[in-house]
Amino acid sequence: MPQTFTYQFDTPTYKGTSSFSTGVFINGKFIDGSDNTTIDVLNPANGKLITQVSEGTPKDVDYAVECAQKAFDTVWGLNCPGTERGRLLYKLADLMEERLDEFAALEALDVGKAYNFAKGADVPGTVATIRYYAGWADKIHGKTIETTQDKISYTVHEPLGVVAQIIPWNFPLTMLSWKLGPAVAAGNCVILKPSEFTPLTALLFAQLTVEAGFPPGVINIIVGYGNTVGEALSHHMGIEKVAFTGSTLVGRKIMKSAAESNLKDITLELGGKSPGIVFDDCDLDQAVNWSVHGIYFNHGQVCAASSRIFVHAKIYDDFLAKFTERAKAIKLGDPFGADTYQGPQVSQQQYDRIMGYINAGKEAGATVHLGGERWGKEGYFIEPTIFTNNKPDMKIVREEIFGPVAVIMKFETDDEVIAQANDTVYGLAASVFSKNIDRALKTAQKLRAGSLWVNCASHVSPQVPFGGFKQSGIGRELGEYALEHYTAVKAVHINLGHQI
Amino acid sequence: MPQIFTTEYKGPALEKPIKVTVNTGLFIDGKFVDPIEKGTIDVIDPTNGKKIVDVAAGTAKDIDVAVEAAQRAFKTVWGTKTPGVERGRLMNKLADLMEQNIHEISAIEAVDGGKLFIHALTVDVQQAISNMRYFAGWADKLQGKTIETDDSKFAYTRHEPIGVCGCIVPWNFPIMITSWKLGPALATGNTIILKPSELTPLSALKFAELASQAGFPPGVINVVPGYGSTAGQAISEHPLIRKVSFTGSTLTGRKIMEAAAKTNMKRVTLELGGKNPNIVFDDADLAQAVKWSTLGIFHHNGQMCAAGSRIFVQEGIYDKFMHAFTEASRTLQPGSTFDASPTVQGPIISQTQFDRVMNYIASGKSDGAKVHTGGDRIGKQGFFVQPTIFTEAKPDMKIVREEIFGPVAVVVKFKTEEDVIAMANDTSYGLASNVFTTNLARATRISNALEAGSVYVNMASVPDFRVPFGGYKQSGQGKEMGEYALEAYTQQVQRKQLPGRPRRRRPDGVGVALDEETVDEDTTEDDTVEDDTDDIIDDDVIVAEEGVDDVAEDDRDGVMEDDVEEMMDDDFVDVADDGFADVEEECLEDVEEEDVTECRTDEEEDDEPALLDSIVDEDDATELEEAGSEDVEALE
Repeated sequence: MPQTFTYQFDTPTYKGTSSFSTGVFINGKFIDGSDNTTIDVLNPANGKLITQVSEGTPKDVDYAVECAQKAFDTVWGLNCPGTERGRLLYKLADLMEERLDEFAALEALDVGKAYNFAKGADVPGTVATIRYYAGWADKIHGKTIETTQDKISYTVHEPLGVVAQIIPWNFPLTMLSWKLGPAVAAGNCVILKPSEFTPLTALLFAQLTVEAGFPPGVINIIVGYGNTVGEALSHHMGIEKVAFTGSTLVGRKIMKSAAESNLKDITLELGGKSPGIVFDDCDLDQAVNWSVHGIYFNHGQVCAASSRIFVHAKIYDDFLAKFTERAKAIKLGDPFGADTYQGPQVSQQQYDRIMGYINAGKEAGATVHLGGERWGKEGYFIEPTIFTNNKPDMKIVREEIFGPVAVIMKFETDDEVIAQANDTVYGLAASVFSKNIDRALKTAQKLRAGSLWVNCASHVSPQVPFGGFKQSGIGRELGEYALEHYTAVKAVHINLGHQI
Repeated sequence: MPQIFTTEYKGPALEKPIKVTVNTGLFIDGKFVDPIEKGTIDVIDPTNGKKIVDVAAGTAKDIDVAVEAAQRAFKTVWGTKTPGVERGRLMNKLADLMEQNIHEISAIEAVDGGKLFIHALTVDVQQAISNMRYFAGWADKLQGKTIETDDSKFAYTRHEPIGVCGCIVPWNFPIMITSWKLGPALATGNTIILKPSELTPLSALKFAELASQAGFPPGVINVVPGYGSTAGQAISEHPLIRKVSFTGSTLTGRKIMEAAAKTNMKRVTLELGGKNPNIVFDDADLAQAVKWSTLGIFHHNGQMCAAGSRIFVQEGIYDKFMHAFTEASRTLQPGSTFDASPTVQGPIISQTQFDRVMNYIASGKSDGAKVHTGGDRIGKQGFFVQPTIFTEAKPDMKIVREEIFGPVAVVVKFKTEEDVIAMANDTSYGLASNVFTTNLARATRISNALEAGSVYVNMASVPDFRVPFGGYKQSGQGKEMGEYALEAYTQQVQRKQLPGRPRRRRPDGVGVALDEETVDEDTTEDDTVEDDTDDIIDDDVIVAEEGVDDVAEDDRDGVMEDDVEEMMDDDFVDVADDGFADVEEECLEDVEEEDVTECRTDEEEDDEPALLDSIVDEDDATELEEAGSEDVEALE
C-alpha cells in the first residue's frame, strides 16, 4: 500500500493540514510502483526532504495504457457524450476551487514559489482553464461539406484515444490543466507524468478526480523520471499522442521517440529566449513594471520569460535606472512570507545551471549591473540579476537561462531591433511596449513568435492559444486551437446515388 | 409590496409534497416591485378553469423602467464590462440553483402550463438547465476573426453584444424557451427584458428569484409579465431595445417585425408556427415510426410549434400504420397533473385555445374530412380534448393548411417520393419535419429536399440545446440553440487600423472616425453612430434587396389571414400609427435621412445628427455605393 502524505502547514500566510496518497494513480486507484521504489521530494527553500512518493516505471506505464484503453473503449471517448464529460470537468473545477488555498500551499512548498502568487495566479488559473474546457466538451463541431448532389460529406472530430502528457515543474498545476483540459474535454484518456521534482499537487488532483466521478482509467497520473517513465510514454505503441512541456533538448528526444515508435502525434511547448522591446514612445513606468514581471515572475522559471530586453537609446538610462530600482526592491525569502515575491529556484541542479550562466556572462565580458550572487545560506535562492554591455553572441544572450537573469540591450532603430529580436532559434513569445499603435502592430507583425504581448508581458488567458514558432515547439495549447491537437478528423462520404 | 404565492402540491408522482413559493410582482432592476398601473393577471389552472393566483401585469410604463435599468446594467456591469468568464460563472451558478429547485420549478410549470409533472421534470426543466449550462460554456468563447488584407492594414472583427434585448416567450414551454433565449443572450453579454406569456408567468418569476440569488447584477435580467397588447407591444416598439426575440404565432411575429421596422429597426429573431410534415415510408421501422409519430403530434396535446401535424404515410404501410397509430392515440387518457403515468394527457392551455382547437375540428368535419378517432371534448371541467386523427383530408382544407396547435393529426396517404416532397413543401411554413425510413440514401435525399429548418430522421422533434432550431419561410427568422444562436445576440463589428499612415483625414475618403473605434470602444454616443454607420454599410442595402424577395414570396404563399394566435393573446393591437408615421415616411426617403431620424428618436441628442452627417456625407456615401454594387453582383 502506498504511503499517505500528511503535512501540517503552520505558516504566516496559510495554516492547515493536507493529506493524500503518494502512490501511482492508475485506473482510479493509488497503488505502489511496480518496483516498490520511491522518489525524494525536496523543499527548495531549505533542501530538506518533504516526503517520498511512489516511483512509476515502464511497467506501470503498460498497465496504465491498458486501463486507459479500456476506459476509452467502454466509458469514455465516443461512449460518453460531451455534455457529460463537461459536467465532470465542471465538478472537478468546483472541487479544486473548494481547496484552492491547500493547492496553493502545496505548490508553494513543493516548487518554492510565493504562496500568494500560487493562490492568486497558479491555482485560479488552473480552475479557470478546466472550466473553460468543460464548456468546450459539448461544442466540438465538425462540418458538412457540399460536394455534389450524389453525395453527402461531413467531418467528425473524434478523440485520439490514449494520450500521454509530460509536464514540467515550474507551474505544475497550471501545466496540468493546460494539458488535461482539452484532452479530457475532447474525450481522450490521459496518462500524465508530473515532474519528479514537483509531484504533490498532481497527487491531490488525482484524488479529486475520483471524488468528481471520473470513470477509472480516464485520468492516470504516474510520477517518475524522464528517462524511465517519460521514455516509456514517448515510445509506447499503445499511446496515440504525447504532449510535452519542457526543454528543447528533451522535446527533441520525445519527437525522436515518437518517430521511432508508432509515429504518435506530438505537441511540444519548449524553451524560449523571448525579447521584450521597449520603444521610446512607451509609457515608461508601465513598461518597467511589466518587464520586471516578464523576467522575474516565478523567479524567471517561465518558458515565455522576457529575458532579452531591448530598450531604445533615448530612454535607455531612464529605463535601466527604474528597472534596477524595481529589481532591487524584489523581496526574497520564505515562500509563505506575506510580502515575498521571489522564493528559491526549484532544485540544486537548476541553481547550479543558472549560476553557471551568470559566470559565463561575467567571463564573456558582460557587466553585472545588479545581483549575480546567491542569496542567503540555505535553499536555492539567487539574487535578481541584470546584465548590461551584452554582445549578441554571448551565451547569456543566446541560451535560455530559466532564472532571474535579465540581459538588457540598447537599440536605435525599429528595423535593427526587429532583426536582433528575431536572431534566435526560439520563437515562443515577445513583448512590445509602445503607445504608437502603428508601431506596436507593425512590430508585432514582424516578430517571429507564437505569443505577442503589446504593452504587457507573460499575460496568458485560457481563451487564447499559446505555443511556439521555430524551435520553441509544435502545436498550440489553450484556446479552441488546443482541441485540434486532441482530436482526429474523420471525413465521411455517403453515396446517395452515384452508381458504377 | 407584491404578494408571495405559497402552496403545496401532492400526488402519485411526488415522493413527498412540494412546497412552492412565487413572488407575484414584476422583477425589475433586481427587485420584485408592483406595477405602476397596478394591473393584475388572473393565472388559471387549465385542468379546472379555476384561478391559481393573481400576478402583476406590467405595462408600457413598467417596460420603460425596466429598459432604463437594463440599459444602465449594460453600460456599467454587463456587456463588455464583464468578462465572459464571469458571465459564464453566474450562468452555471443559476443552472445549479435551478437544479437544486428542479422539483419546485417543475411543479410550477406543470400546474401553470397544464402539463404532466413528470414531463415538466424530465423534459422542460431539465432541458432549460442543460441549455443554460451549454451557453454558460460559450460565454468565454466568443471569437471574431482577424482578416488578412494587405500590409498597410490590420482588420479584425469583434462580436459584441447588442444591448437591451426583449424576449417574448410563449406559454407552451415557458421555462425551456426562456432558457433558449436567455442562454445565448446572457452569454454574449446582453441585458434582458423577459415577458412571459400572461397565461403562464409563474416559472419566469421563480427563475427571476433564482437569478437574483445566483448573483446577476440588478438590471441584467428583468421579468415583466404582461399582455401582448401592452407589454409586448411596448417591447417591440421601444427605441432603446435593440433586439427582440419572439416565439409564438406567425401573425404576432409579423406584427413584431412591423413594429421593429416602424421604430428603431431593432434586430428580430422569430420562432413562429409550423404545419410540419411527418413522412413515413414503406421501409420504416413501423413500431418506432408509430411511437415517434404519436409523440410528435400528441406530446403536450400538440401544443408545439414543431408538432408533426401532417402525417404522410406511404401506401404499402398505410393500413398497418393507421391501425397502430390509432391504438397508440387511444392509450392517452386524461388525468391529473401529478399522476405518475407518462401516458396521461393534460388539458389545452386556455378556453380561447380550446375553442380554437374545437373550431378546427368542426371545420375539418364540415369540409368533409373523416374523423378517424377522437374529435370531441373530454369531460366538462377544464379544457381537455380527445386525441384526434383526421383522414381523407384534401390539400386545401383548413385543417391541412393551418396550424391547429392541438392534439389533431391529419393523415394522408402517398405513393412516391416526388409526390410526398411536393405535398410536404406545399405550405407557407418551414419549421421542422420528420422522416421515417431505413434507407440511408432516401433519408438524406428527403432531408435535402424538405424546406424546413430542422429535419429529424427516424425521430420526431426533440429539442437538443447543441443543435440549432429555427424556421424556413414564414416559420421565422434566425436560429435558437447551438452556436448559431450566438449570432442572434451579437453584432459583428469590423474594426480597422491602418498602420504606418498619419492619423488624419486621408484623401482616399476613409474617415478618421473608423480608425478611432479601435482605440475608443466604449463611448456610447459613438456607438450609436457607429452602429448606424455599420447598418448603412452592411445591412440596409441588403435588406432592401431581400425585401423584394419577401414580398414575392408572400404573394406566392398568401398571407395567412386565419392564422391562430396561439402564443400570445388575442388583443395584440396593431402597432399604432401615431408617433411613428414620420419615421415611416422617412423610410421612403434616402438612407442618410432615415438614420438621422432614428438617432433623434433614440437618443434625442442634438449634436449626433451633425456628426453622423459628416461621416455619411464624406466617407460612407462612397462605401454605401460600393456596398450596393457588391450586393447587386452577389445577387446576380
